[in-house]
Amino acid sequence: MSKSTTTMIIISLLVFAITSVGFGLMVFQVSKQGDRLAQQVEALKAEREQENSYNKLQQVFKETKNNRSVLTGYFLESQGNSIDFLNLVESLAPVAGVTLETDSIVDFEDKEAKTHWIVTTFSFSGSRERVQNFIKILETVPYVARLISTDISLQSSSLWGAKVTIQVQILDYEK
Amino acid sequence: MKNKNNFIGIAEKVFHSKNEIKNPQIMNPGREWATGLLIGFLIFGVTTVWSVQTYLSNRTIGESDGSIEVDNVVIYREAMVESALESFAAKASKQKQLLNNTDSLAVVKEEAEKTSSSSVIEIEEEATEVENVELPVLEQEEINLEDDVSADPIEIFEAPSVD
Repeated sequence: MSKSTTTMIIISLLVFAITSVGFGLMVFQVSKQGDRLAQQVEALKAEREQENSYNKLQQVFKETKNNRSVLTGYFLESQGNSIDFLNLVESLAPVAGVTLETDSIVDFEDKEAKTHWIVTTFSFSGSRERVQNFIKILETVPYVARLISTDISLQSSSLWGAKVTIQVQILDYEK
Repeated sequence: MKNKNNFIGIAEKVFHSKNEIKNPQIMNPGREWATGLLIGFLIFGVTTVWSVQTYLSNRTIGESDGSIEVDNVVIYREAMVESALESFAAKASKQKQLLNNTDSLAVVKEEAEKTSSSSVIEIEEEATEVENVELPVLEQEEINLEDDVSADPIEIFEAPSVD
């Protein structure tokens, strides 16, 4: 092989090596930047999903404000608000034509259902129809309530008495 | 200086050689062209395949397919709220109806009391009328008895004897 041929071979090999290394570096960089871009796109997608979810929640919050406030009013917010319930029942008694007395107020926690209740016992008396009517009225109080026990008895010739126990739920959830 | 025969021998070797592998150093344009083009096509093919694969794997990277789970998702059960509000509204209307019924119960009781008091008065009046009717009958009987006694004496009948 002549000297010029050898020189040409060496030069061509050098050029080939340099271009191969350059090409390899470019491929590596493209791959690396592509992975980085994929991660950023995923992060952007997650952020967009969060933003959409927040916007939807805000819209639902605005649209349902009235309904939620009405629904909240049917619960006792705390034990201190039981006075409102007692006042309501005491105001209904004379309208219904019965004489009412509040016997007891007790706090009760249902551990299985994880709910809090206020248990109130009322005693009232009147004519039989009015006593029965008032028991039905107590079933329709605007609270999340349930009648636990009802005891009706004849006190005199025309006077009937009743003892009713009601549970009213306290609005209690994990905050 | 080489003679003519040497040149002829070389030329014969070059142009009429049966086994060309014996002269690898001699360039064959067809072979060289084929080798170069083959290598070129291989490089082009590999690059194309890699590019297509990268494109297909990253084509949908920007689209939202809902696969991302958002933390603390809040679910608002509108149907449940609506049904609860409807039930409470029904309770309120029933309570109103029951309270209105209390007034009607009072009216019925007053009417019952009135009817019971009026029936007592009627019985008392009837009792007084009955007493007034009886008195004149008794007086007449007494008068008749007195007349009978004064008019005829009582006749005594003797029983016949049995022999």
